[in-house]
Amino acid sequence: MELKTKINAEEGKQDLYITREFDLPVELLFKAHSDPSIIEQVMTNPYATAKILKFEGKKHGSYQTQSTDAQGKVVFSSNGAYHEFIPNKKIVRTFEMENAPLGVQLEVYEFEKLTDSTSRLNIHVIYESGALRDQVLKMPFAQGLSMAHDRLQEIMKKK
Amino acid sequence: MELKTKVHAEEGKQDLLITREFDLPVELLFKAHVDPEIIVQWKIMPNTTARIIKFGGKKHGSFEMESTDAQGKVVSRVNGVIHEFIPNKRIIRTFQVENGPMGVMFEIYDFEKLSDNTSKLNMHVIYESGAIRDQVLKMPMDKGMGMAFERMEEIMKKYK
Repeated sequence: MELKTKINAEEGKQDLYITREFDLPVELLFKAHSDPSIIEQVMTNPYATAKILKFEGKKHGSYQTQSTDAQGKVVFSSNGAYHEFIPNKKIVRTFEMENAPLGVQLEVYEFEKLTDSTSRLNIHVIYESGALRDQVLKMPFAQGLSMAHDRLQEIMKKK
Repeated sequence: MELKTKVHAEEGKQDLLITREFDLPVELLFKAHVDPEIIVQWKIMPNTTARIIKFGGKKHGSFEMESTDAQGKVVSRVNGVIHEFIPNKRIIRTFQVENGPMGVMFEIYDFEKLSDNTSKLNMHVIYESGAIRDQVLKMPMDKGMGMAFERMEEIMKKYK
């Protein structure tokens, strides 16, 4: 089945573009990226439960997340800082998956209103190198992200 | 004369590598980048006065700096967040000139000890696009940065 979240990675570059349309007003799409309790739900999958350990959703704020498996073992942790945080419009942040050889990335999120009840998320991810980006693309990254976005859509529809 | 500050920009990429060796111990090279009172003495544009509004020199800290001209008019404001801050080793941060056309830059500073009295700064600057990087390269960046580093080396010698 074709994934709803599209990834465009140009050959030889160190960045990629991600787009996804949602049947959600842009305000709810943004809320799903700025409300820690919702972020936890979106990040939680059948294999791991996510917890937001720190969340300062504002310009020059920062965040820290941790995901554990059913046995309580930490399987994923990440952190970063917000360079820009404009409600319903834009987030610019750093992101690092801890204990992974993937470096730090800069992410630019644009929240775009399409109609009163639909919106589009445009993410520009910039890696430290093209080699690191290609490394990420070899992982089931597109599937994981698309599934997270499917969860986001389901969770926010109820709001 | 060959410039001490080397800027390496590969064709078609959106990043730059900048290197410069200093006759300074790595601790002083690092201090010059994280002590607000020292930063305002060298990271400035010609004929301006710099003021640090905020400087959180730590992981997840942030900074804000303002430059004014002789008449006290604000000519530039910059800000960013610090993703990583390892004393005498590494800083990863974002950097933006407000209301400027350059977007947000993503910068990785590696501070390298060469000997007890010499060190090397390796800067990796990543732009939002290759077009923005190429725009920056059209400016006399290596010269401007080279002059700032000269100032800094002079200032820091006093701390030896």
